[in-house]
Amino acid sequence: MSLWRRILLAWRVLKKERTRLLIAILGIAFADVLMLMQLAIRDALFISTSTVQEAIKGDLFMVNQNFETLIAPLPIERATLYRVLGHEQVREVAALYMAIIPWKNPVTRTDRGILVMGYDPYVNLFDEKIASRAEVDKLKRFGDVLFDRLGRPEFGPVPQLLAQDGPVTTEVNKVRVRVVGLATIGAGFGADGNIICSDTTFHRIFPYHKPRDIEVGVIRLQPGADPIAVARDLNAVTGKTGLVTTKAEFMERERAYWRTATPIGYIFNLGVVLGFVVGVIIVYQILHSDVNDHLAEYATMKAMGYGTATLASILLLESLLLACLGYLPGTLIANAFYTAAHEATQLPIYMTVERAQGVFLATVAMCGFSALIASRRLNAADPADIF
Amino acid sequence: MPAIVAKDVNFSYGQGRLKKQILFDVNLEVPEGEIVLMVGPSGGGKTTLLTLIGTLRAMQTGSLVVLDKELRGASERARRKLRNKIGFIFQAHNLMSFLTAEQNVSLPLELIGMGGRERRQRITEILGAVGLAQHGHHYPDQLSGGQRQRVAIARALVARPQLVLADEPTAALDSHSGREVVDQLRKLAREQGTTVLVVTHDPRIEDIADRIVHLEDGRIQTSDAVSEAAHR
Repeated sequence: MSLWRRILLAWRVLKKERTRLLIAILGIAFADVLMLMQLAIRDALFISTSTVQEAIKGDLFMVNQNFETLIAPLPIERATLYRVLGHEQVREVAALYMAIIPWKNPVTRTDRGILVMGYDPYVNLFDEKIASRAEVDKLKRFGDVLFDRLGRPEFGPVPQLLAQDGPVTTEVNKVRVRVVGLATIGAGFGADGNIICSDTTFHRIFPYHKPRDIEVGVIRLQPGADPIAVARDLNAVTGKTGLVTTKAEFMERERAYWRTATPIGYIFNLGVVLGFVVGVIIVYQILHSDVNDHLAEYATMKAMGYGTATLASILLLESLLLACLGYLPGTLIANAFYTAAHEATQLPIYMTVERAQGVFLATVAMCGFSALIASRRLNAADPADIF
Repeated sequence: MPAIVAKDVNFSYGQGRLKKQILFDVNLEVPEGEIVLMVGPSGGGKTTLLTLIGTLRAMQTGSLVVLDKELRGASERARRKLRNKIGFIFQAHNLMSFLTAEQNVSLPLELIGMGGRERRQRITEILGAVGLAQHGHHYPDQLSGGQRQRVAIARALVARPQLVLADEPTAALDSHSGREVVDQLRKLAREQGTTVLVVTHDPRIEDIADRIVHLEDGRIQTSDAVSEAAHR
């Protein structure tokens, strides 16, 4: 029996029971939506945790040796950072101050924690995609800050107010600041929003933060220098007081924190497995009742000379057809949810080719696995019983 | 060479104390091209013998040669291959509920891998021969009992099997439909030169037979040739 005839037969079996077919498609779509959402949120988490790190223009980074995450940074002494200038491959260094502090929504006057980053605006610390040169120049005025346009809406409609009426005045940690421009960073799981300011403004907001303590030291190297070799040299000297990492390590540390030190990654992976299991159960139920309802018919086909393997292959094809039919609406629905979730949370939730492919393969595996279990029931179809 | 040769066939269900013998030293010869009716009371072993000949059960003792193939000790694979040359007609039509009449008739042809044009032609021909040319696109639940059984006959004969085995093909039908069904079976079998073995209780259809075999209590009682004259 040709493959095409088998596919046709599989389709005809499915088509005859419209309601059952619809339930199967919805079930698979549901399982796919579940898996796609869990994966998207998990990926968004890991991406969002290193958005800031990625935007800092630096070759090496110095942090406290117990550093885990930017959300709870541990201080290092500024003097330790300046010591690395003694290495001939180091071109320049810059200090970054960080802290989370309540921000007052200028409209509703409610407070919400925001991540504040302070640095010398004469140093070109951030990539242009985060804050343009013109915007950073505005920070040279004492008390002025840039507001993250991708922060959560709970911080207030600052970008709109800025566009309508010019600079927006509000309070951070009960200190008056003026928003004079916008940055583009994005909310993460750790921080709902960000503001950028000069180091002097930072110390005005945080009077108890010692200026000689910094959170991150940014190190830039001479052109052609090998970051890994220089990091090794520097760690030999400063390792105990300030750990030097490459940019990749710096970002990986942050992601590792969220992956391992928090249950978040595990929970999302569990959600994916759950979606898979739900799918297997639904497809198995559908295929099993299909075989059961048509047991006499499958036995008749055996009497004609159809082998159990051929019948099992038809069952497998049924499951693959179901996989395709369920996957399509599943991805479309998930895509709509992605847009909605992105708008609601400002997290980088969107479809990727890898995820779309991965979930398709998972759907095929889910359906194929169910078909394999259901096909055992075909052995019960005994052609001698139908006489 | 006869289509079926049974020698000293014994068959029992169950084992040990629960063992129940159904067939006792059955000897039977069905010549090629003949239409043979197997009659006798219920529980006499007719259906069991039919499933043995149809290779749907494994042989126990004795010898059974069907279409030149010894079934005793034959592998499942060999039996399945032989089944391609046998057409089955069941008491309940046993059509695939999820396939139309045409698609049902198509199944045996798809099994042997017959291509599109030839297959469609065969289906049209045989559905026409059983008077269902207009019903090809109907599903079994849209057909009457007689029509369904005629589709089943078309399905059993479409691949031109050398042997057709039928189990009570008229039991579920009224006398008029039953008559139509066996007449068409007889006509097609004669055209194709197919050997037919029919198990039946229905005395009204005895006139289609070349030979009538009585099976009672697991033993062949008589095997009578029906003279050509009786048909006329």
